[in-house]
Amino acid sequence: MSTAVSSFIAKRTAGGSFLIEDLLPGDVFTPEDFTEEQKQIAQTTSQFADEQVLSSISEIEAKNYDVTRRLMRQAGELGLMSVDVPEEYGGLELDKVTSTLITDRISVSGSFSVTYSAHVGIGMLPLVWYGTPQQKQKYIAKLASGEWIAAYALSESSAGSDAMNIRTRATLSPDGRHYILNGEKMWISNAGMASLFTVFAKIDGEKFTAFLIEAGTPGLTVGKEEHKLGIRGSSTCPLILVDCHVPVENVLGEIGKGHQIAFNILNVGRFKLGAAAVGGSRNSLRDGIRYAKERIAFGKPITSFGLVQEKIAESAAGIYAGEAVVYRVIGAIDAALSSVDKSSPEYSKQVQKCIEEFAVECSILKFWGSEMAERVVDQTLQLHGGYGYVEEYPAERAYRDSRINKIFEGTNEINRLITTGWMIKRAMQGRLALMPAVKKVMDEVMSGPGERVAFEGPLADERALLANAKKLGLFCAGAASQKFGMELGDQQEVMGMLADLLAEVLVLDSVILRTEKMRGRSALAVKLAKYYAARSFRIVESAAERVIGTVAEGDMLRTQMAIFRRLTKHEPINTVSIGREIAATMVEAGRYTINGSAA
Amino acid sequence: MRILTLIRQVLDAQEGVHIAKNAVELNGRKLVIDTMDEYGVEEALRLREHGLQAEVIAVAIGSARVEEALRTALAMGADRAIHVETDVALDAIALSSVIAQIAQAEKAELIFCGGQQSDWDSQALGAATAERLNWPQATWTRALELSGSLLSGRHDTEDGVESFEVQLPAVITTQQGLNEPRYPTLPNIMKAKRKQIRKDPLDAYAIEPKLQTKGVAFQTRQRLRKILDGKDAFTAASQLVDSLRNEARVIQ
Amino acid sequence: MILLVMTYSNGRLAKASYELATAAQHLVREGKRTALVIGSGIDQVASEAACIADQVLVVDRPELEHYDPELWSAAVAQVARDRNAHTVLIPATRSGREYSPRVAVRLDAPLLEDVVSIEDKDGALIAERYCCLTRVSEIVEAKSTVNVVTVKPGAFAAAAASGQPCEKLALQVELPQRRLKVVHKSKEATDRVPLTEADIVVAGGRGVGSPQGFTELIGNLADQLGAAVAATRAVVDAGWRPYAEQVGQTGKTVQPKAYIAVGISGAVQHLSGMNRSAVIVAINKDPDAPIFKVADYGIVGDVQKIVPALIEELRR
Repeated sequence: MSTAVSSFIAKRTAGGSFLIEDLLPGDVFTPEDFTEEQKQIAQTTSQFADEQVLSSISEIEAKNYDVTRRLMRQAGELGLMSVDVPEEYGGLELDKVTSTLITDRISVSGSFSVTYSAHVGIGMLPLVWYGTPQQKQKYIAKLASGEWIAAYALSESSAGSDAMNIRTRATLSPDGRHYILNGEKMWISNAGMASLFTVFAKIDGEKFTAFLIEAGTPGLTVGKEEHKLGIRGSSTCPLILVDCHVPVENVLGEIGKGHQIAFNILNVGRFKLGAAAVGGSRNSLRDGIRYAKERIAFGKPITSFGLVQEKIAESAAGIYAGEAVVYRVIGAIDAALSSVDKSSPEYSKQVQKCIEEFAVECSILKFWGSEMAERVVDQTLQLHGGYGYVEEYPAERAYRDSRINKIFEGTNEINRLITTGWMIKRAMQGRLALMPAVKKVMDEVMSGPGERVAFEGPLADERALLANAKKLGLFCAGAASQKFGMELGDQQEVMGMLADLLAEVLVLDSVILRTEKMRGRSALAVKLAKYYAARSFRIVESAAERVIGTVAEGDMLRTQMAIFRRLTKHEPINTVSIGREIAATMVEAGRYTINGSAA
Repeated sequence: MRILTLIRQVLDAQEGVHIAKNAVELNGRKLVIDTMDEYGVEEALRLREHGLQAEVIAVAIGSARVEEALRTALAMGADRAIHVETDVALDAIALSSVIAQIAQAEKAELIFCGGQQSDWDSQALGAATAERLNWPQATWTRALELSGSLLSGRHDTEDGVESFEVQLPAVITTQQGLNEPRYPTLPNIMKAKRKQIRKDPLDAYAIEPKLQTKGVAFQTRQRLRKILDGKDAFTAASQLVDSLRNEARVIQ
Repeated sequence: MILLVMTYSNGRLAKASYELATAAQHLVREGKRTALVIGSGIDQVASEAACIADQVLVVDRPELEHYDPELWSAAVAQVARDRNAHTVLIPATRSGREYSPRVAVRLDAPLLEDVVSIEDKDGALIAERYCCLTRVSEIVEAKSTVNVVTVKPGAFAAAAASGQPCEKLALQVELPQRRLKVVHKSKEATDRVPLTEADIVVAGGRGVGSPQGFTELIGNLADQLGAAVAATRAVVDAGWRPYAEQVGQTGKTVQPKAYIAVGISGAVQHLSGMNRSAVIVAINKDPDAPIFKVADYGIVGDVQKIVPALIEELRR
């Protein structure tokens, strides 16, 4: 298995179990568990990102693909694209924490981040997982070195969220040597730079299959670049296939099983997006603090003002939480992967299964992460005042770049539906003991106020909030199920509210575990945890109240609201004083910091 | 042959300086290998890549944290490292004794050292080490070649640049522009995990520090910060010249 | 005795040598202030040195025509040892900082490096020096029988020459073989006053825009003021100006009466080479440039418009 890096392996858990289980701090992977090698890899990535990528930002944004290509080759030389590639093809085959850490640290430019991630994730992984030895032999080295850039072509103009609805057709040629593809693909990242495309088509209009197509193949045309709101340096083009002849050797994976590739790859893209969101946020906060420290208004740097400090504290808490939840989830994936036999021919299948186990968590990372990042870049733009609105400062670019995160890799709406939907599906499949947990909570709350559980330690109050948040989550899931039964999946608004609740449970749980694992080494971490928890619980409350308002009425409503009030009863913390302390530390450091050193 | 590259771990350029307990605060700060020393590591690796059969040994003297900087050197490609662990702050003359002893024990023939580091602002380590070993030195070196046992290169002097030649063994101190230090690649970071960092206690070496630091303080100077808006260039220029003439009195 | 190692150029004693004499005045310990002049054909320099010391020792040998760290350190150490110097003061020039460590090792003495103040206290030599790229000042103390000190140029005022020159004494020393062979020396000639001695320095950074811009803006402004020209590392790296003009951590340290920084952002490495200037003036289009934090006077605006305006104004 990917031995190389993590020395700490998290406890094996089941996907979705965060709602029904209580883990100990020692059970989860946290950023404080990074090994020396992981820290060095993070350092190389950050240096490359800051020194090479950022210094070429105007060229990148001007769609000067020669510059982007050069950067990709440099990244390849550093080994940044070899992390998920098997050793036998010259790869490093490191763990997912390491590959996620790279995605995190490289995210200083939305455009380059997308180019890199699209290449290394959806671009290369289908080949790594499903390629034949011949296909891997032919293409992997060129992709890992950055000499060739990869693109992934699934979406079409009328098949976005409903990917199974694609219309691109493939027919076997009379001599049986080629598939002939006809159709159009839309929104293909890297298309203007790519040398290799993974294209999805239905053979005979039915069998959903993936094909590897080299650029320059007759019949494959890359259309015009889209003029986008953001990530302007990322190539986005339609693909036009007119009688494009693809050798049968280039079928990727099994005929008719292409959707497996598509679905499995989505999970990886989602957790990586969560990591990129954290990295981008960290970078954005750095810009914001740098500006705010030097901007004088009313005779003082604006960092002296409460409303500025509040923005800094909110962003910092979001980043802290993002780090906690991303690495907790990836650590859990690595734990699952640690028991997979690398030499087995089923290895790739197993890897995907392990990742798929955490599909719910991956979806949460995607929608929660993208929305957290959106708040951060918005705050940063606001900190810049008028200067945030002009191109001279990086704030407006980050703001524009961030918007796509809520749309691609599955819209946030789809990801919310997956979050709730798959929790319920697993419960029904018996994979997750959700029903018993729901029943237990229902029984408990219905029987009146129970014993008050006493929690200990500096985060005792937050632990209490978390325990209640879990109960609320289970309760609302139960109540919604009771109301809608099998039709719950069609109640998208309620599904969305439940997803928000679930997300906050996962994130808050991760935040508390991370902070407790530090065992008092960082007073700052405790403050960040408290600050985040305050916000998190407000979201939990709001979502739960809306669910109850939707599913109950009359006496049932009154009963459920009584339960709601019991479970949401708490004393607010002084967010202002904690926020100011957090802001002061970040301002002093000039950027997001935890434990006083760059995370 | 064996090449020693001396490295110091210093505050990252972006970190502000803080003082605690009468010393510069390093706890919890971002520390990195000093760039001037990185040129030395890179140069040693470059010489090896150009065909020299050499073992590159990174050497550092300092606290436990200094190991991170040594790991960076190993991840760049150095073969092994020696860490003389101590929390005592030692001056360059004292340290040179340790380095010289190591150089002798390792039978090194070439030593790289940064021309000056950004923490102690000292330029003495390379020269002092050279004297202890009775080797020649070329300081502030901005270009270097090795042919057999003859080093040739260019280095910065008081008033210009000199081209020089010197026989090994020698001490070379680096100047910016000597090379572009490589980023540790991921494969090399992983390989470095298996490389040896030998830990020596300071008392394994005979040294006699003769200089004590008694205290540190911020070197601040209040500046007037009278900054004008230059939209109207002539008005601003006129005001500035007037200030420099009549207020600051630095021009006629 | 206190040994003051002289530095000179073009047959004249450098200002730094006069400053050594002042530094020596701060010491209360006993001993003749003895100047040491090393070189070839240095009689005139020795005569000049005779006006700022109690005695002058001269090592005049053809082998010493060109500076070499090993030859200089051998000579200084021998003289110090033979003549029982307890304190050796050397100007902290590039060369001084390079051979003084060798002297210290030879004499088994501590090195107080690049000091800005010096005093005797209870038998100890105490000095102040800078570290952390001059952002921090530290006090160092040495109590050895022999101490070697390099003195930061500009830290002390130049001593006045006395009307009564002292005696000069020629010395013999054993010199090692020259091992660092100088194959070629390129010395940047300039009509302007040397950078390290100028009262006014006009310095340019990338903000100046181009090599031509440098000549037009920085050069002309410097000429108008009778100033020296300096450059940042970025400008030297870009090949616009020679290394001899570079000011900063890896270049020269200067301390003029006025330092005018044009199109310079103010990276800490550059600041460490000029932040002891008496007056700092900054001209930059970026109001947030760090240089404005350490400037006494400044203008935020377009360098291309402001510098010509300054030149115009100065002509009046």
